[in-house]
Amino acid sequence: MGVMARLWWKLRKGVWNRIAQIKFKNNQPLAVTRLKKSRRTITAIPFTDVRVCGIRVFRDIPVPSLKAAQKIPRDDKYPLWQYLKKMIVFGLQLWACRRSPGAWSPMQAGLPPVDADPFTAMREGYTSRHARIAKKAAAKMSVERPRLLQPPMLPPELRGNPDLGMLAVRGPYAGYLKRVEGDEYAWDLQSLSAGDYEPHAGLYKPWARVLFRFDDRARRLNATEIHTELGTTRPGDRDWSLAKKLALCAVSTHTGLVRHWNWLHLTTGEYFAIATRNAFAEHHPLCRLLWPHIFGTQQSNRFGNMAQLTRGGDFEHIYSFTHAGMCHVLERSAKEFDMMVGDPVADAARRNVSHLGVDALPTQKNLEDLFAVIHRHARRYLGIYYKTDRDVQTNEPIEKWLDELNKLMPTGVQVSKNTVTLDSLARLIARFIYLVTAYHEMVGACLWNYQMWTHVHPIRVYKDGRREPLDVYQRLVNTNYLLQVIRAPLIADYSRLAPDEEAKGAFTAFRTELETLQQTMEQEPWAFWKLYPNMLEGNINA
Amino acid sequence: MRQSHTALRIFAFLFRIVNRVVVWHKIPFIRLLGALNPRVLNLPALRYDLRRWNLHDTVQLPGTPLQNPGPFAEADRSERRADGTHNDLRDPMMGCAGSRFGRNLPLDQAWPEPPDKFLDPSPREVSRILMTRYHFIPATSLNMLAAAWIQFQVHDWFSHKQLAGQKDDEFIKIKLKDGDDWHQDPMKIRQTEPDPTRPRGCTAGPPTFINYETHWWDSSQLYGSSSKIQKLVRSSRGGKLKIENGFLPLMTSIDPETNQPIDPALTGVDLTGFNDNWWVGLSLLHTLFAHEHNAICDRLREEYPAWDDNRLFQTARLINTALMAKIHTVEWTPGILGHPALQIGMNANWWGAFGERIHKLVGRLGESEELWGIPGSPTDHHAAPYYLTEEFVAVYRLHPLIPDDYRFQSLSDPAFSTYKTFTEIQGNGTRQVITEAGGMANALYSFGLAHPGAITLGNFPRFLQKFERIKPLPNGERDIIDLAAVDIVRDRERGVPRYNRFRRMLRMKPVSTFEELNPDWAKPMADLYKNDIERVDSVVGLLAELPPKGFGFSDTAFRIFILMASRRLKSDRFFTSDYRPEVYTKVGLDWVNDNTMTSVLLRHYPALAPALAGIPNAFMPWNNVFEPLRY
Repeated sequence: MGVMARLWWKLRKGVWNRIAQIKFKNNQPLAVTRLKKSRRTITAIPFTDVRVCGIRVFRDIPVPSLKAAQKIPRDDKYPLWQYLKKMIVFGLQLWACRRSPGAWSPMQAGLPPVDADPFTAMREGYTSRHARIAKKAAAKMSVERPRLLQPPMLPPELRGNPDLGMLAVRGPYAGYLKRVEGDEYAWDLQSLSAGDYEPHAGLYKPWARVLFRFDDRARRLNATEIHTELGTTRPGDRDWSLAKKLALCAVSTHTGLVRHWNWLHLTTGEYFAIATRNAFAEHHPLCRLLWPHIFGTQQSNRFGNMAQLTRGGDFEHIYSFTHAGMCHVLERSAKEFDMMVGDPVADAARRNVSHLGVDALPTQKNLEDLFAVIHRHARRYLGIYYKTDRDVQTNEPIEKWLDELNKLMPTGVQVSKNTVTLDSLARLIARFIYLVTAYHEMVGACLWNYQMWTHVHPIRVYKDGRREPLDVYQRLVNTNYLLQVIRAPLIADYSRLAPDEEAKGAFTAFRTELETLQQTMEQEPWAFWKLYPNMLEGNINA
Repeated sequence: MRQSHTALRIFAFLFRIVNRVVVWHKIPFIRLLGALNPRVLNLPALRYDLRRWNLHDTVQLPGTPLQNPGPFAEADRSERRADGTHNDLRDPMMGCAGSRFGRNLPLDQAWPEPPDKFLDPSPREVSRILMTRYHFIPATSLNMLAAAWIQFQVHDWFSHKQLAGQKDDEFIKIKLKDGDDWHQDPMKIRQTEPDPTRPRGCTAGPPTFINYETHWWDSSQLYGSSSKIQKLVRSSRGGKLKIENGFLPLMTSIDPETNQPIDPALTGVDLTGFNDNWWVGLSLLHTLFAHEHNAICDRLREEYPAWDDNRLFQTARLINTALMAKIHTVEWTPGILGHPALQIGMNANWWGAFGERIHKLVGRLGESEELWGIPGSPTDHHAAPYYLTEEFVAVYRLHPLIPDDYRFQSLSDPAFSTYKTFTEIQGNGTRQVITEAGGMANALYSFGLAHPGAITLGNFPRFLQKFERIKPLPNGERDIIDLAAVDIVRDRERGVPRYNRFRRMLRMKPVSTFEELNPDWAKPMADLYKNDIERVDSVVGLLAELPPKGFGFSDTAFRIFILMASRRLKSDRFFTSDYRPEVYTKVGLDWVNDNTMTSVLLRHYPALAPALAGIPNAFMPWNNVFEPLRY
C-alpha cells in the first residue's frame, strides 16, 4: 500500500471510528414511559415504502415479505434533539455509503489484510478510544459493573483447534443443532446455498451442513463431516480446516443476518409493536405488561435499517453476500420465521435434541432457566386479570391482537382467538418477551466474543486464502461495537407501568426472580457463554 | 567491587533526582542504546536504594533461638541441605525452613492493624465489590504455564501455617452485610499461626511469622524442606527422583518407613516436596522438572560414572534449581513484564550488561553483578540477613491469573476436546484430568494455548471466592474459604501496610485520589473505603494501579520484585560464590547455560515441537498444531 493510500486509510478509519464512537456515546437508552392516550392505528406497509423525512430510504431493499409501520408513533420517537443528532449521523453515513462510496464511505479498495496475529488485529480494530468511550458512556448512565462492555474475549472453543462440537451446544449457535437420526446430529445451513444468494467476487458462498456424532461416554458432540462448496470433508482431510471455517462463517452469517436482524428486529420486534399498539388501549393490562418490551422498537429499527441494510450499508460490506444476495436471503428467510424459536423447551423438542440432557446442552439449560422465569411472570400477571380461559377468549382486544399477529407474523403465532387459553396466551407472551430479551442477547450482543476472531471464525472466506482487508474488519468491529450500546436493563423496576397494586407486585416478583436466578448462577463458575439475567436488556431498541 | 559500589551510589543519587521529576518507566527509551538506556540504568539505581533502606531483620526481635544444626560438614560446601541450613556458612540458620519472615519496612511500622480498624472495611465486602469476576479479563501475551509457573515458584519460597481451627478464638470473624449469601455468619477465617519462638505476650516489636519452607531459591517445592520429605521423593537410585509411568507417585503410595499410604485422603495429588493447593498446573511443572532432574542425573552419570546416588542427587539438584532460577529470570519475568527495558534488565541480572553472547564467549571477567551478572558474583546480603519478607508474600497474591474454565486439546487428534472448570482440575481430580487429556504432552499443550487472567481488580476467580479445601476442619465442618477475603485479612494481620503507606515505604509518591489510582474503579473504591484513600488495602491498590506499559502488574509490586528477585540470587552462596565448576561441574554449568524452558519441554515431550516452533518464549501463547491461528 502506498503512502498516500495509507494516509487516506488512516484518515478514513479515524473518521468512521469517530462516527461509531459518537453513535455509541450518544445512544442513551430511552426511559420507558407510559404510552400516550390518544393514538392512531398503525398501518403496516411494505418495507420499501417506508419514508423517513419524506424520503423512501429503503426503496433499494427489495424485500416484499417484510412490512413496517407506516409512521413512528409519537411516544416511540426519540426526543427532538436526540432525533436530530441521530438523523445527522445516520443520514451522513447513508449519503457517504450510497452516494459517494469511493470517496467517503468506510470502505477503501486495495487495502492489505488485517494483521496475522489476531490480538494485534483486534487491538488495531477495537482501539483504546472505543473502550474509553464505552466506559464513559457507562459511567454517564451509571451502568453497573457487570454490564460494562469488555473487549472481545477469545472463547475456549476457538482457542487452538475450533471445536464445532462444543459450539453446537453452548453460545450463540446453540439453537441450530438438529437430530438427524440415531446419534447423528446436524447444523443445516444449506438454505444459504440458494442460487440467487450471490456472494462478493472471490468469496466462498457461506453455506454448510455439519454432521455431528454424539459420544455418549464423553457426553459431547464431535463434528464428523462437513458439506460445503468444497464438497464433503471429514476430519483429517486436507480441507477440514477450511471446511470448518466455512461452517463457522455460515452459522455466524445466519445468526447475524437472519436470526438477529431479520427474525428479531424486522419481524418479531416490529410486528409485536404494531399489533400491541393497535389492539390494546393504554390502560389495558396486556399493554402494560408488554410495554417495556416493545417500547422504542420502531424508531430504533428505522435507524438500524438505514445503517445496515441499505446499499453500501454494514451488512453488505461485512458479510459475504452482495446487496442483492442479502436481500434475497432476507426475503426468503423472513417467511421461515417460526415463533417456536422463542420457546427453548418446545424448540429443543422440535429439533429433537432434548433427550441429550442438560449436561450435554449447557446453553439449553441456561435458556430454559431464563424462559421459565419469564413464563412464570407472564402467567402470574395474566392470572391477576383473567381467571379462566373464557376470560381471555372473550376479551376483544386480545382477540384483535391475536388476529393482527397471525396476519403479520410469517407463520403466525400458533395461538388464535378460537384456540387461545390462559396458558397458551401466557406462553405466547413469554415467547415474545424471551425473544426480545434473552434470545436477542444471545444472537446479537453475544457475537462480540465470536465474530471478531476472524482468523479462526471468518465472516468471509476468500477463495485465495487471504485474510479480510482492514476496511472489512474495521467495519465488522464498529458494527458489533454498536450492538453493545447501553439499553434499558431487564432487571429494572417497571412496576410504575402497572395498572394497579396487584400488577405492581407481579412486576416486582419478576424482578426478584431474575435476581434470584442471577445469584444462583453466580454461585457457579463464571463462563463467557452464559447469559446472566443482569446482562439482559428489556427491549431491542437502541 | 568498591568502584562498582561508588558508581552505583552516584547512579542512585542521580536517578533519585531524576525520579522526582519522572518515574523510571516514563524516561524515554531508545532501543539502540541497549543496556545504556537511561531507563535500564535506572533499575540498578532503584535496587541500590531498596537494598539500602528496605531490608529489615526480624531475627533481632526477642525469641527462642532455633535449634542450631551444628558446624558445617565438608559436604555442605557443595550440597544444599534439605532444610536450608548452612547456605550461609557463617550463619547456618539463615533462610532455613522454620525461620522468621523478614520485612521490607522498618519494624516499628510493621504492626498489624489495631482491632478497631482490623475489619474496616469488611474484607468480605472488599472481595465481593472489588474482586468478583463478572467477565474474564485475559492476559493475551501469556499462556497458562506462566500462571502455573509463579505458583510453582512461590511454593519453593514460602508457606505460612494457619491455626488448626479447633477453638473458636482461632478464627477471625467477619460479620456479613445484608444480601450476602455466604453459608455462615459471621464468616470465619483461621488466623495465621503466630511465631512459636516469640515469648508469649512479648510486645517488643511487631508480631513475626514463620516460613515453613526454606527461604532459599532451592526448589524445595520439588525436593522438600525436610529430610523426611526428601527421602520420600527420592528413588535412591542414580540420584533420581521417583517417577512411575511418566508421572510422580501419588500421595496414596506406600511410605516405606511406616508401610502405610503417605496420605490416603489425597488420592489424586502427587508426591512431591510441597503439594498444598494442588492442581493440574502445578502437577505439570513438578512432573516436568522431576524429569529434568533425572535427565541431569543421567548426564552426570555419563560424565562421572563413579559418583554415588547422593552426589548425583545433590549435584543434579543444584543444576536443576539454577536452571529454574534462570528460566524465571530471563524468560518468565520478561514475559510478564513485557517491556524491552525489563528484557535487558532481567537478562543483565543473569548474564550481565554485556548480554548472553558475550558472557558465553568470554566468561566472567570481574566481580561486578551489573557487568557480569549475579551468578558467580560475590555473595552479599546487603542491609540484613537473607529472609523472604511479608511484603514479598503480599505482592505475590496473583490469584486473578487463574481462569475459571479450561479446555484440553490433543496434539494428535484434532477432534479431541474436553472442558473442565477449575474445581474439576484441582485437588484429587488432578491426576485423572491429566490422564483423560491424554497425558502430560496434551495437558502442557492445552496450557500453552490458553491465556491466564490479567492481574487487575474485578478478575478474581469466582470458585476461589468459595473454595473448599480437601480436608475438613478438625470439628468436621467443611473448610470453605473466600480466598479474596483471606488475602485482605492476611495482609492486615501480618502488618503489611495499606497501599499508600506501602508506596511511601518504597519512597514512591502516594496516590491522592481514587481517580488517580484507577478511574474505572474510583467510585466503588471510594464508597467502600469511605473516601479515605489512606485506607485502601495494599492488595487492592496493587490490583487497581495501572501498570507501566507492557507490564503484567503494578510498578509498586515491581519495586519489591526487583529487590527480592535479585536478592534470592545474590544472597545465595550457590548462585554466587559457589556458582562455579568445582561445585556444579562444567557439565552442570553448561546445562544451565544452554537450556531454556522450551528445551526442557522438548527434551521430555518432543511431540510439543510443532506447538513451540518459532515461539520466542515458552510462556507466550503457543501454536495450534492443526490450524494456525496466525496465517
